[in-house]
Amino acid sequence: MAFAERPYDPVMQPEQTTILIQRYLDRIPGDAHAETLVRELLAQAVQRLHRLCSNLLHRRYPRLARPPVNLQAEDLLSAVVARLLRALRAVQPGNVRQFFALANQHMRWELNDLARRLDEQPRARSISDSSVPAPASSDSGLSINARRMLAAIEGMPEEEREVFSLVRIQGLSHVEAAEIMGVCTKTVQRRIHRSMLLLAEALDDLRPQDPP
Amino acid sequence: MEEAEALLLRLLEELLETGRTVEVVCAAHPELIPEVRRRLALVRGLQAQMDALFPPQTPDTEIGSNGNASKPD
Repeated sequence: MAFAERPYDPVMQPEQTTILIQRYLDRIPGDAHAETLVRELLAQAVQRLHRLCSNLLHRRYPRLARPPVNLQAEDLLSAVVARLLRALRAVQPGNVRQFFALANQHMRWELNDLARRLDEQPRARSISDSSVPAPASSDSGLSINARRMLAAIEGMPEEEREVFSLVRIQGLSHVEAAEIMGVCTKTVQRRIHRSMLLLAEALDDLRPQDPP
Repeated sequence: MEEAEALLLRLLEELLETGRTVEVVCAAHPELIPEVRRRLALVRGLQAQMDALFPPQTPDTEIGSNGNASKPD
């Protein structure tokens, strides 16, 4: 998955990102090399998802990233790319905004799925492998908060969910998000603030959980 | 009840956007100061958890990146 390891290019200007993606989207219909184009189109989203998966794994479950489990973010991502490819083939986005809406939706689903799998892993191992010490009780449910946060994001109104997903999940700047949504950066900032207020209200009983 | 909630949201948005103090923003509604403080604390607590789950990629992805909302009351 070489494209997932491509370093983030901080030099690329926001308008370059949207122009580049639109160019790919325009060329996909009828293009003999559509698969290659779609893969390139996904590169940035996958790169960001790779970072989020790594972050979740190493910060919340560092023990699983060490021997004997050796779970790596790359292992977690392989299914994601396949699923995104299938989704892009089935629903061809017509513009950059639609592309990001699709990518964001899948990234939220994948992160939720990853959190669920990580929560299940310690329990499954303690049953199947008696040579490995049982996990600390604090391991169980560590990413329940993550799953609750993702569910709350999913439940937000469209405008707030879109801006939150572009900025916090995709990691785009306010300028890039504004370009994609066709609004000014002030509007992006206002919607981000509103999304945090809505999430805080929905998650007012959420308590911080320390990593093991 | 909905009006009160809308007012609370408006005050909180103003607080986050302008970086003014709670006292200044709630000058016309001093009775709401405790609830505004409570909600603001929730937002800041959540911000820390969101940062852990979704690390900011660029400086302006952080709430209060204009230096406003992060100022102490």
